[in-house]
Amino acid sequence: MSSPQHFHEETKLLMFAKPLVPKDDDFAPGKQLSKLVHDLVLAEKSLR
Amino acid sequence: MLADSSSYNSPSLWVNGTQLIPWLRSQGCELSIPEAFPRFIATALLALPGIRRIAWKGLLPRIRVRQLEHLAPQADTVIVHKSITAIDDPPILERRLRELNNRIIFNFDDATHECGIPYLDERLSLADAAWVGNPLLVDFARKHCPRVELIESAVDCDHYIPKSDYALGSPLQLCWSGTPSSYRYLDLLREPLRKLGRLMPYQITMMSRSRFSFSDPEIHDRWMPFSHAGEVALFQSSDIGLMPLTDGPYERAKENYKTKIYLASGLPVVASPVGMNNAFLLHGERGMLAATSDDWVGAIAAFAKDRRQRERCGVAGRAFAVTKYSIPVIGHQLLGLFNSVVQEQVSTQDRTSTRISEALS
Repeated sequence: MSSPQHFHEETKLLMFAKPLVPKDDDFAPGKQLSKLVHDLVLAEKSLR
Repeated sequence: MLADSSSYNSPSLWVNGTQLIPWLRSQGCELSIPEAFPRFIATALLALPGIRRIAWKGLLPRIRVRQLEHLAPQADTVIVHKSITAIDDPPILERRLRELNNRIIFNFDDATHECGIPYLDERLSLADAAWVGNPLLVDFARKHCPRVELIESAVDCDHYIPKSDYALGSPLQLCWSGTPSSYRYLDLLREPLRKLGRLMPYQITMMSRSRFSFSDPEIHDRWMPFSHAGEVALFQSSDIGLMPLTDGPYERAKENYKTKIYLASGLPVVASPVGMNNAFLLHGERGMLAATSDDWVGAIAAFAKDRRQRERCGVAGRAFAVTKYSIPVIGHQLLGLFNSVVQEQVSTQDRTSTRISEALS
């Protein structure tokens, strides 16, 4: 069942998807600020 | 950067794309899902008042064009899940993708045409093939796309581990997990839950990305923030999963993923008899269907009183999920589709090369 012999070797698939359009209530300033700080910390950690 | 199920990617992208990446890789197939923006940049952009529309309608298409022109020529096949930009945008970038001579496979999971959102038919007509997970969507798609296959959304049955303890919670534990767009269906539970409270103690837990409450003193509810791990723990500790759904053309075309993850978790299910719920549950075999308020109360009470029935339905539901829509099962169906489109492209190129060689000789 897991044999890939029939499949084209090293096949590259690219997928585009619509980003979820955010709702207004997802962007309350306090909520966004804390999330922004959280994401920046994660980004900074990932660069180390 | 690969997409995840974060703030501005839809759960359906996770279900139909992201979660399949490791399994596809194990089969020699590399699936890349470029994000429009790194998440923290998107958050920063969107935190600024008035910038949301500029970001989504102005910046996003420009970034997508660059990604298309850079990445699409290197891919064997390009999959478009719903849309390359916002779903209500005209399919301008899909036409550009067509010009880049790539094979296009289209996938969508909601009957957006039933909600007055345009362009689904045009996007389908630009694709070489499509897959969808509901027979009603197949019927619609076949009017616009030459090749459409019915392939259900996969459930990761290794993630949704089966419930092993069917002893009743104290009090009875009911659960619901979903997106805020499904809150409108929870109103179907309002009256049954009031009635149930007069028969037996219970607690219903709703898990989602934004806070929800029935705000009703007669309903014993609580809310938990969604997380992938938290959802598994919730299902393990619950006695019955609930899946209310109104009966309309949009709902009949849904894939009812919520019912599928309940079944995969071995959770007894009570659901509205709408669309695919009927086939998933086979009333009494893998769960119970409830159309009226009294049906809901009766079905929940019947499960609450009968441990053997809870366990029998839970075990049958888990077996159904593993054999019908686990990742390897659905993955092989998708590989068949991807492979045929890629092979078709290769053979078309071969025929073209042969014709050129013949013309030159």
